[in-house]
Amino acid sequence: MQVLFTMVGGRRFAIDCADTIEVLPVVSHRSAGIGPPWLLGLINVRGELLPLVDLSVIVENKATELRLASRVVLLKLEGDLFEGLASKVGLLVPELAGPFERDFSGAGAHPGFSFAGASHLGPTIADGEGMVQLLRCRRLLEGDAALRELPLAAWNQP
Amino acid sequence: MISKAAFHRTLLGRSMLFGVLPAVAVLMIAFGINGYRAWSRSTEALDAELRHAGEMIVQKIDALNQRNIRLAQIMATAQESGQFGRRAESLRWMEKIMRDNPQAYGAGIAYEPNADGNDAAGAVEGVPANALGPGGRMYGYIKRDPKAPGGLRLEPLQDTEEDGELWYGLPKQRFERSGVRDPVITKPYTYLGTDIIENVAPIIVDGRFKGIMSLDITLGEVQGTLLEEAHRLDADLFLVTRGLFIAATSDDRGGTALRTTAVAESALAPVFKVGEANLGAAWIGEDPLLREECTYVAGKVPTGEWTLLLRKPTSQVMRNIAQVVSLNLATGFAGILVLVVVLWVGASAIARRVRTAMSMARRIASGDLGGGAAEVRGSDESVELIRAMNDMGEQLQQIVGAVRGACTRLAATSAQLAATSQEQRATVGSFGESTSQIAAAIREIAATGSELLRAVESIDAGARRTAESAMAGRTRLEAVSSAMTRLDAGTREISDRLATIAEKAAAISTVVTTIAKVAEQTNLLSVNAAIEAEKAGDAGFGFLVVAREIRRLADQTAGASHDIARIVAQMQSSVTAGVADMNRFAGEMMKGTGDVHAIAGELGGIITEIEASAASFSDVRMGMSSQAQGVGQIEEAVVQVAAGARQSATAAQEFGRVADELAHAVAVLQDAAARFRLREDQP
Repeated sequence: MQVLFTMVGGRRFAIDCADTIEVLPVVSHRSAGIGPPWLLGLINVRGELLPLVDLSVIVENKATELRLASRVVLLKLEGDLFEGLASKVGLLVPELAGPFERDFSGAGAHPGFSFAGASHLGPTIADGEGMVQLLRCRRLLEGDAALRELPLAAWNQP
Repeated sequence: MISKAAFHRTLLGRSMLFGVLPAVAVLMIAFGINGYRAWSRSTEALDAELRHAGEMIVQKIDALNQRNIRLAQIMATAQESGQFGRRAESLRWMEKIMRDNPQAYGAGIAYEPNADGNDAAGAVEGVPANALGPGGRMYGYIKRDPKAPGGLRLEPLQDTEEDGELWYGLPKQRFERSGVRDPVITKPYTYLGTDIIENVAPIIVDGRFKGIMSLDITLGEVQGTLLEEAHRLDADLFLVTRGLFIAATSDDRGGTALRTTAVAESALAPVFKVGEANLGAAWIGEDPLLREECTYVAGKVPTGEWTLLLRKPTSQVMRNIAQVVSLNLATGFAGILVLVVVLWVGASAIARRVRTAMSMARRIASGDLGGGAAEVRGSDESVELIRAMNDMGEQLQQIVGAVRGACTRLAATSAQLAATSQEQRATVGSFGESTSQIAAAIREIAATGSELLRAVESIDAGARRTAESAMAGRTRLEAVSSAMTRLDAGTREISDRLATIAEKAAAISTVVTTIAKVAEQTNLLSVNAAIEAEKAGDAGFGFLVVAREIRRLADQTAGASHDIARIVAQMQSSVTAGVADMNRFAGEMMKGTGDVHAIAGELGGIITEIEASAASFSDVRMGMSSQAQGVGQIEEAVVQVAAGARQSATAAQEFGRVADELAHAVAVLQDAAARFRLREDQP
């Protein structure tokens, strides 16, 4: 599959290109104020207001250090994300590389650890540059119970 | 008591010996010297007298000769002046001269044959034949004859060939050969039985010898003149001429025999030889005739060249001298005799008195002060001596009596003194001991004080050195501070430059950001294109290729800009770090400067404190010095007191010793006083 690589906290992660709509530069967001730490706020993408989520907080529990290479990956998520209200979410990543072709369902892939709160972590493979773990983006936003506690309905209301 | 000692040991004997003997010796020596001097003076005087007499006689004879010569010359001159030829006048003239000169024996006139041309005239008026010679020449002689009337007789000149040479031929030859017309004195010869000497003067008329005039004297006349002188001198005189005796005043035995005798044939020849060599001087020789020592004087009579010899026996001289010396000696001995007698009398009186004094002294020496005074009369020293001895005896009486009384009292006093001195010594001993202790303590104090003083001084010195070091440190700190200020300024500059660099980096960064943004956009574009191409499937393959190329380009750009960004970020971080370092450094420096100021302030504080303390150090030092001085004074005083105590101790010892000596002396004195026996009225 075509994946985009990102490095968070020294670990390489991969994002499936099938889930991505677009890659955007880092744009300013309107802060959400109170709420979970991974939810940064709202961004305006060509007139469309979309929520912005910090990958580093989800994975590392640490805020992203913005760099020149930092991007916002627009994810297309289907399903009842945010109780069916949002289908696109911006994911703030520290850096992005790709797309590259990698096979995560091959023989060398490690299925990952299955413990609570880790459902967004997919299999890990090793490539020439080290080990890289696939991120299940839907799970990224679904997997975490805290994520579901997002009161989207609260601030999606105009 | 009369001494039985030898005479030469008694006072009288000694005074005689020491009074008389020296006086006698001195007198004899004086007389001896006087006699010798009188003798030598007499001999000298005699010699001088004789010499003088000889000169006088010579002059006298010379005067006689001159007179006679002059007379002859006068006669000749008269002839030359016109009398020549006037025979009668000449004879009258000659007669006058004979009468006027009684010492003359005769006067002669002799012309050359017919010199005046009157020979042929012969005997004429006034010219008797007696005046004429053979051929009628004028040849006359007026001689003294007592039997003749008028005492003068005229007779013709008689001559022998031999004698005529003397009185006629000689002058004639002399004139005709050499033109000499001086008158001549002939040697003595016998003329008609009479020994005469002629004074002949030539008559020169018109430069030609015309004859002679002569004036004669007898040797007897000369003899008579000499005799007078000889008697006056009491000496013998001899007159010789041309080896012939003219006169000799020695007694007749030699006199007549000598006249007209050749000197060379006489016994006096050697004497005359000596005389010829010693004219004018006196000499002594043995006379051949008298056979005794004589004093001679010889002289030359200028006129006629006669030689005079004066002879006087020295025994006569001695006789005179002996008379004088004997007189002196007699006087001397008489004087000595008188002196001896007087001395004897005086000395014996003194000796007697001295014996009295001696006996008195012996008596007192033996301790007998009880004798009475001796009686004396008179007023000289010996009498005074006896009187003094009397007084002395009396005084001694009284003194010894007083001494005895005093001795008793002294003995008691000296016992008291001894006791007192013992007490004194004990007291002073203890006193001296305590003062020694005090002195030792004082010395210790003084030593301690000196040490303290030294310590204070060294501390003071140390403090001063510290102050100096602080001063130096402060100076250095100020230098450091100023250096740091300069350094601070330098760092600020550096900081500024770094800031500039940072700005520049920021600017670069901005540019790079722009590039990066572009790259980012390109990258985004490429990624999105890839994603779309992926989604498009095969239809988007070409698009995918282009997208990949763009992506590669974007990647390169991104990489490059990433690199630049990284480098710039590094630079920035370095600059920031540098600036931070500088700032930290500056901060530290400011802190350091602050520290330096603080240190300088502290040093200043130290210096001030030290200077303040220096004053108190001086005070302390002064205090210590005065203390040391005071201690020194105390020490001196104590030393003096100790010395005084020692002196007192010594004095007390001395005192004790003196008291002992006094007691001893009193005892001795008492013993001595006990030896005297006093009169009964003395204690």
